[in-house]
Amino acid sequence: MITGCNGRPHACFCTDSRSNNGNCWSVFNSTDIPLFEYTSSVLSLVTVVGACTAFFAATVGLLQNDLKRVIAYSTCSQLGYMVFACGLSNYSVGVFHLVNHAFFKALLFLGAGSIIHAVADEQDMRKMGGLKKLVPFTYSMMVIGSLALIGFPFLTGFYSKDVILEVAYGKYTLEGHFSYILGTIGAFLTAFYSTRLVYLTFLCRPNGYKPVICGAYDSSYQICASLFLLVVPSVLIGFYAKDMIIALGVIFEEIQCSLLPKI
Amino acid sequence: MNRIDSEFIIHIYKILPVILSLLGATLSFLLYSFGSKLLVQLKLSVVGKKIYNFFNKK
Repeated sequence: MITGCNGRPHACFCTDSRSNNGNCWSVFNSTDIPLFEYTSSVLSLVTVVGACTAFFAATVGLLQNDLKRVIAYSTCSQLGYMVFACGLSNYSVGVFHLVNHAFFKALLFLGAGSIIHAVADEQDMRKMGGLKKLVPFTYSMMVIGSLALIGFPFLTGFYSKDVILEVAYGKYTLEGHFSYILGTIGAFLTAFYSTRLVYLTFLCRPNGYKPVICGAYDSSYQICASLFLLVVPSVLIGFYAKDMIIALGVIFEEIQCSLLPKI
Repeated sequence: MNRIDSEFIIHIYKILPVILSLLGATLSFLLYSFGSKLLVQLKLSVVGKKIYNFFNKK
């Protein structure tokens, strides 16, 4: 299970190997285009499984109280989007979401590590709150990361998630419409739990131990610089990489088209 | 390749995910700001408990 990241927190770099495995699987999926394209039933299965994963992981993330678990289930949900994009034969769109997702999820995990470090290794969001004024830099980074994840217009997540859902509906098949509906509900749930995360951690009144909350501080400049380095692509990469990865006529698209079966 | 087809879908289906995302964010903020009692009641109800326990593997 992806929730194995709830162990004792130590460093700010909360690498989740299972999420990485999922990402690797998405890339593997995208490199096996010919195998999938000759078996339409498998494509349908991949679409349905991806859509169900996106929806189910979002519902699970909605009820988690562990900061890192929420982000981990969010990753699982986004992997579902990538997989159902591949199931709809839009591999470049899936890879585009993978690239975009890498930046804002790295930002969110690093921000989560920074918060956990600031509140004496506490991971339960119910015991946080009121950190907005104590860790302002991390707060602003987490807000931008969450907005990118939500798919707020003109941030990175918007460009890829929107295209995935458009191609799902534009497929005009049963599994296409099924994945569009589940993906759209998943987008609603993503927005809900991301805002919940920001609210419980930063905006609501403090719920933790007074010495812990009062002693919270922003991380060192190395971590802040890393957060800043990640926030720039989290805002801009979707806009700039869109034409490089998913525009019609680019080399990535031509390779993909050459691998598709000739009708 | 249905990305060209997807450019011609009905406009409402294009913007529905964005609308729902914004709605979800707003709803979450309002619920946690002003409806925390409602959330607690929901969580302590029989169905709420079952759902919570299921998703938290308890």
